[in-house]
Amino acid sequence: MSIDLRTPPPAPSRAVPSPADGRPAAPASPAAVVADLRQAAEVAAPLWPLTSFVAVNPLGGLERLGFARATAEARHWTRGRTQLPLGELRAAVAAGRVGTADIDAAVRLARPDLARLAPVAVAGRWVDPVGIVRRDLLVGPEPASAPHLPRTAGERWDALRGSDVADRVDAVVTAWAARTCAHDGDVASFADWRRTALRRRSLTALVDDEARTWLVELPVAPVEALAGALAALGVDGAGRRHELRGQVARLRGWAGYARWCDEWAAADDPSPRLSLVELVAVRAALEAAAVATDARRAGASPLPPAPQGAPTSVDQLLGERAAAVARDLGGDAGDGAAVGDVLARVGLDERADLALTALERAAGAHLLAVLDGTRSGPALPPVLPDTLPTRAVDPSTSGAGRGRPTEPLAQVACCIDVRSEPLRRQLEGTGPYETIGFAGFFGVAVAVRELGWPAAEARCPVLVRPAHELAVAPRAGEEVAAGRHVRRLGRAGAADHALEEAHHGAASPFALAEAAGWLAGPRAALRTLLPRRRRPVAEEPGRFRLDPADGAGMDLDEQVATAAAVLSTMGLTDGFAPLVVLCGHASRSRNNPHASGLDCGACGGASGADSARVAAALLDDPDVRRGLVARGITIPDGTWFVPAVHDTVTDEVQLLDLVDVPASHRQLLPRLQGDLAAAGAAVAAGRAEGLPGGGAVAARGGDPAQVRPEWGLAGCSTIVVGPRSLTAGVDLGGRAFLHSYEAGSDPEGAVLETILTAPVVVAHWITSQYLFSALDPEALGAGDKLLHNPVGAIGVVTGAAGDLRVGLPRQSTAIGDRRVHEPLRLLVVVDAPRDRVEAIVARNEVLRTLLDGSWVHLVARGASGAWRWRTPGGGWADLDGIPVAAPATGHGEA
Amino acid sequence: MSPWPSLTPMARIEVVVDGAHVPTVKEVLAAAGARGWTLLPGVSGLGHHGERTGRLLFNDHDTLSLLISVVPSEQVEPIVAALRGLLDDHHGVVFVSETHVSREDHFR
Repeated sequence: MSIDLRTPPPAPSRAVPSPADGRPAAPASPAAVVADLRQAAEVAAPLWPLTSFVAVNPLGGLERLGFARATAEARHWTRGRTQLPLGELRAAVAAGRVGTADIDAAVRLARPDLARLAPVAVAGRWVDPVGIVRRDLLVGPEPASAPHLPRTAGERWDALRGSDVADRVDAVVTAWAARTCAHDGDVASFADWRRTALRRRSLTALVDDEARTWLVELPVAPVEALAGALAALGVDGAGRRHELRGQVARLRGWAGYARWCDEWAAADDPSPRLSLVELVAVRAALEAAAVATDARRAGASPLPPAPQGAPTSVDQLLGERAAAVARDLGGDAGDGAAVGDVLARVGLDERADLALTALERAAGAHLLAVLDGTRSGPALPPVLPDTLPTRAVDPSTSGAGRGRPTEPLAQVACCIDVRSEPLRRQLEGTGPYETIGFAGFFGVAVAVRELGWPAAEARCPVLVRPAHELAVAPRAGEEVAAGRHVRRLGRAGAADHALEEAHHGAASPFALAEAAGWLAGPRAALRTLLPRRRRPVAEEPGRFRLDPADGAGMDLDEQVATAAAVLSTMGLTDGFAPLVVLCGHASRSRNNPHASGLDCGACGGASGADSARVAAALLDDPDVRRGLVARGITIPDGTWFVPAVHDTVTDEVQLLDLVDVPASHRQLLPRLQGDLAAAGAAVAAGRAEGLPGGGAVAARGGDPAQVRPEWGLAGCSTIVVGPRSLTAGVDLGGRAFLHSYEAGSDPEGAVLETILTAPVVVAHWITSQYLFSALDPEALGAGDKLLHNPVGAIGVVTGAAGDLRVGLPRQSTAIGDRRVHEPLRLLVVVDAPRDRVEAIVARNEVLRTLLDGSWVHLVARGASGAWRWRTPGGGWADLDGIPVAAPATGHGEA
Repeated sequence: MSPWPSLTPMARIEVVVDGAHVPTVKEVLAAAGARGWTLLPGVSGLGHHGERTGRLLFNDHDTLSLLISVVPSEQVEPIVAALRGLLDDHHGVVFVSETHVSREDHFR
């Protein structure tokens, strides 16, 4: 029996008149509009609320296109600078940081096909095509910035008329969104906008009576209203996605927040809700009405048909590039044709990609040489020595040359975050400590509810949905103290709520300053002049309860399974020290809307303290330990897990839940605390030198006028997946994520697969956010922090209104106009056989996309133990870009 | 006509897409009038774009999911037409087959 696949249902029975007086297209089916809108939204990365500001690749939706094409697309849609100017590579060459060998290697690594081309005769000699491309990078002309082409019907209208309809539409829509999404529980909708906005007199300047009537008569369902608006704008099936992409691109901040609401928010998250279809329905309908109004008022002709697709990058410079390279080789115009044949294979976007690759190859080769001991000095040196914080520690006390202590007092597991690296290095140099790098949620994907919290909050990477909820319960005898704690929280919460109320709405800070500034001003001035030192985390009178109770907890089997997974992934299944410190991290600063961005990304943009407390409670539990024995893991009675939190503003480490430490272990604590304090102080002293304004780091977090409490993850460029012995004592400058991994204990690659598909992906997101925020702090970053005003707890706007800002504030990547963060893609260093890596890549699309699309670079070990660089498509090469045999061929590459 | 008179013929749509695109498929189904779906996250397999692993330990986002929805046959074409654009640009497949349900009102 065949299925009756009938034609799509008819369009809405009521024809939608075109306010543009042009050629109304037939409204599309709701399903088609929704599908096109979702794909159009790829130009706006999801934007997490300020309470859990999570780093993402701002071009993540375009990852399937590969780096070169995605950056070209993004240049059009975001109006941002997505590529490094060639001048920066040339400056690095002039400064001696990049050599011609780096460039040649980069060309061979990124474009193995070019290395296989036959040499070209220029000026009477044979020239390697790789050398031709290198010369193009060094002497070829840079493209002039092209004028922006319109993205939406409104922009096309403005380009024709010289008007500013699209900007005025944005102003209305962003003001509405800010007003409507000010409070928890708010829900913004097209219907609500139409009901309230059309009453506003301010809209009269934008929309005449006829267009107002048209708006009123649009279907109330947002997807049908959007279909009607697109039809009115003359947008048909072929142009629909393009128009929608333009609509989204004009409001990337709010669209990003809407994507978070639609795709990422937990069902019980109280944050205001704005669906993408509601937002774009409002914007498209208003733009259609405004264009129609403007046309009527001006007596102008309707819009011409929209162009299809994004503009393609046409290399009009090819002749000039070829001529410049031929001249550089001593040739003349006659040689240009042969050179041009080679350069025609490298478009301008790919050339920009190669320039970046050359810088990355130079940095990567240096790092690997230092790890191998063939080169000395910092492995990741500051690129701008006068500005980049080195966070270097005193070499005389660092752990350089130290082996693993035979009987460590403690094993200290820190988050993979780049800020853990200097602390680990310093601590290893301070005493008998072994350190471990692991994602800061310690492998326990849960939502937590501390005492007095009304709801649970996720404490795991956003890639993972929390599997369980765990709550804190008072210990025996702590019931009264717990009650006091909850009441204190309630009072503090009420004060916070009042302040939050005052901050609602984009314009309210100005109103607040006018109304209460006389009262608040002197206090703020005092706080600025005498910043209060942030107090340590208050000890909570309770501990995480593991077993099921009150809707939270997990049964014993789940506890044991989780504990086993944690220890296996951490590589800690034997050789336990008397104390094992699970050290999360948090950043405490005042008056900083982006504060959660400095917290632990692996904990969902929150403090890592709870994750450490949960994991320690799990691993100290006697029943869990008994269960682990059956799984081959014996934690000795003489081992106790202690949670801790590393304050990345001050580098102080506070041990938590100390009342649970058994008497047998308490005498070990003073030395551990003393060594942690000494290590932290040394790291902080080194960091202070790289922070503008200097001075002690301790007061920065308490200073509400401080725009840079710390550098965060600025400088991040590399993740090393391998044993600590590979990096111990090496100065990685606080620029490397470090994930512990023992290849010998993981023959099947299961642990490596987890590391490559989760921590590496998160490190890529973070590095990409820094990369693009640094390349264009205004279009792809959040701009100047001094001008930010919060919109509820959702995001910030610049000044009193406008779109939500995306990316990192300028102060996170630069000092004034001087860039501090070196924009590089992530280099993944895996101390494991490359055949194991390739097998994992082959079965994980996310890795194929990142590696074949040149979003990240990856090196692993060849059979001889030498480093091998993976090239796009699954090939492998040595660090000079010379291909080596594929692992599967069994040719026994060296 | 159904070989089982007590049952009503319907169309069963199965969509395999990346976890990242599950919200899109859900929205398309809802916009076309589907009354529900079943989601199987973390499915594995082999297809046009190579092997795909199943569930990952700490990444629910980048694995494949299978969505199943049962709809009246007249809803199939709008759904397939809408998903075609998604599947032109992204990995995934859609299957449509005949099925029968006992409670028609749950699906219409």
